[in-house]
Amino acid sequence: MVSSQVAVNLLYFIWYDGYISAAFYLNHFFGVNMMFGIFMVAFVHWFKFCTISRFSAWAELLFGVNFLIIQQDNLYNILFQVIVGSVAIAATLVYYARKYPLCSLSLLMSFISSMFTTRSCEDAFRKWDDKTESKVHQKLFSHRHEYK
Amino acid sequence: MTKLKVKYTRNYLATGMNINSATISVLIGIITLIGGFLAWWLAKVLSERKEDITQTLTLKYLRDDFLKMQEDIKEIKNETKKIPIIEEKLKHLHPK
Repeated sequence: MVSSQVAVNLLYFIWYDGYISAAFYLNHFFGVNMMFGIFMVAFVHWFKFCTISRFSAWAELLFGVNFLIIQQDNLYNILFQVIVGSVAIAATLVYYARKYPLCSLSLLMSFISSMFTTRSCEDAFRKWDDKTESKVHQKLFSHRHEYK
Repeated sequence: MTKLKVKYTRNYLATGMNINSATISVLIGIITLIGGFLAWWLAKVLSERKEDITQTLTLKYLRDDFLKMQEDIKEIKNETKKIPIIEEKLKHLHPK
């Protein structure tokens, strides 16, 4: 939801006329309902399996509160939504990668960070191998039942 | 011709309007697509590499456990002077 809202808001900058002509439908489909925002925040905090969506739920609630204050679909409102939405998406991705260290996203982020630290593709692969080996050990074999 | 183009662009800038915002959007779209494809491909390669690392570690731990087990069997053999049944069963798993 947050991604689609950010995309819709970006449309304002990319294709202003299109955004204005379709504003009613876009806001109807992607706009924030305050009660739904509160429900989402309560939901993701109550159920542990939804913790990954926490940042997005808070972003939805912030969108709703922001619209209560500004009350217009103007540039400030749109910029606010783009910035808050992008931060929420980035935070969600980072949280996901940290929670699941062996997922593709985490592996990719780990490799990119290795590239930045080593500044060489070969060394980055070596460093990434060490990191991944320790992650695999930590995640899969740290509680293994050794023979005796 | 080039001079005319430059002049036109400058005038366009002076009015405060965006120059070719559609072209810039398309360029950003293409760069995002290429970047996304590269990221997807790299993630796939890294996932395969991670699987290799996992398999290597699994085999290493299995081998360690097996060697320890073998030592135990030797001890039992020395103590009892009998061949335990388990050794017979593990014969075909002997590491080369």
